[in-house]
Amino acid sequence: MSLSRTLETELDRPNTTSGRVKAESGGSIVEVDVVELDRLGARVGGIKVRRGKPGDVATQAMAAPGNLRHLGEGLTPIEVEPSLGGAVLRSAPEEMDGGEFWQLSIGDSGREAELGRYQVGKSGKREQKPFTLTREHLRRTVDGMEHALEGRSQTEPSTAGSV
Amino acid sequence: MSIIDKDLDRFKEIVRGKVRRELRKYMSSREMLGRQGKKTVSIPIPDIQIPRLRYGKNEQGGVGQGEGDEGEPVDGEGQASDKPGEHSLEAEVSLEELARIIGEELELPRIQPRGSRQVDSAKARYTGISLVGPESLRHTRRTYKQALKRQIALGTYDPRRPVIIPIKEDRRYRSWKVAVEPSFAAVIIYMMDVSGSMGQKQKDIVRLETFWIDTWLQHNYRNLETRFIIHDAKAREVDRDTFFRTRESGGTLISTAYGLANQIVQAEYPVTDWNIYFFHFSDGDNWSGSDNNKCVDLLKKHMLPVANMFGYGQVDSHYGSGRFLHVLKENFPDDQRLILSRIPNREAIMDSIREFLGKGR
Repeated sequence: MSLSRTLETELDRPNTTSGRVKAESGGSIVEVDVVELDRLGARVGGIKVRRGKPGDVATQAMAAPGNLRHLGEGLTPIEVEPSLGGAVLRSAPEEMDGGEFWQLSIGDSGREAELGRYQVGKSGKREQKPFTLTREHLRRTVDGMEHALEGRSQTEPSTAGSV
Repeated sequence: MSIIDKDLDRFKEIVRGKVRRELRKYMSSREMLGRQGKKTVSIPIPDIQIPRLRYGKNEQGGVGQGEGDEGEPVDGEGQASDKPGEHSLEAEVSLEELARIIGEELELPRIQPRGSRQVDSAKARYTGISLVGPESLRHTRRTYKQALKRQIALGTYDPRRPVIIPIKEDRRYRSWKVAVEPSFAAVIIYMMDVSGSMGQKQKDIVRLETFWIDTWLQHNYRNLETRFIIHDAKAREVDRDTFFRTRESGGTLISTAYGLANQIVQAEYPVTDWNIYFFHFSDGDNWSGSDNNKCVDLLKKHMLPVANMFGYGQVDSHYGSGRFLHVLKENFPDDQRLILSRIPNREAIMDSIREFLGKGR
């Protein structure tokens, strides 16, 4: 079973409503900070995907935007530093004050990727915000992050979950 | 003072007033940097018009002589002209003058230099008189005075018919004397984060900041050296042009820049002889907490003890402000040598300059 499917099984457990939900499959681990959950979607604080093998950070940073296109705001590699084993990708916030943006951090020599939503306050301070995804989008996001870590250029159109 | 000198002085006063009134605008104007010469800067002043003579018959007899009643709007119809438009006036202001204006407007105290050794600088001044010299430097008054003395001594001067005719021996010329003035030496080391998160807007802000800092410090120190360091995950020393043009896509390791700046100072600028200034500009997104700790360590042990001041300017990007400013605030809450400034946009440059230079260090 794929990592996203395993996560879905965990989310569907009757006692899962909020908190950190963890799922593991094929040597990869996904952790989702769930704020609220229902049958259709989830409000999450952040998503972290980790796999056993390191990867080429530059390739992963190039692969990530295509794999996470469904988030609606295109990610761009901002800093790619193979010597430090990481990269930062962000989407462009629409406005300076109060603008929100996605941030995908690849770290630990390409072993992990973390996705978060941030907002810039009036004082310039950056705060992490929870964001809402449908179950379908959550699954595609986890798949996308996993594929990006594998260096695969684009997620295949997801048919899983559609009945 | 001749009439033309009076007019020129009055014009300069108007320009000065204009620059003063709109200093905030000029300080944040990127356009102005392109007009910078070696010792002067051209400032566009659109509101000032130079009076000029217009030839022709004076038939109209002044303004407001046409048809229509007072207050009646002028017919706005018409076509665009095919003639070139008038350009706004540009006034040349010397950097020295500009520094004086900044100093007065921002109420910046004169810097109190430190260092035991003063560097001697030679400056030529036309204070002497010589018997030989080029005609362009002939001192007319002294020449005639000499001729008068000679004529009186020879008894050829008639007060009823006061004609003075200088001969070759009467001629006097201006000559210069070289005055040796002691002055203090200073070095500024500019450091800039050029990692992927620093965009063109942020670099423009840094460029303007450095221009004003340079102008002020040059006004205070005759012997001023500037060094430039750029860094992403690695630091390197570059020339001024490269400093402002380079953009990298790498990560940010601030400690690399601090390490290199420290090496340069230790190798070339003994603290006893030099006034040392560090300025670092970044968006504050350092790669890791461990690198923040390294920076704090370098500052505490090596850089702050030798520096007149260390200015850190954190430039906001679309992605907000990074953590590094807070790291420095937390680690150096009361250190007068470390001056921190957050620069959210171009309009904040003036306040930031005041923060950096307002302590007279």
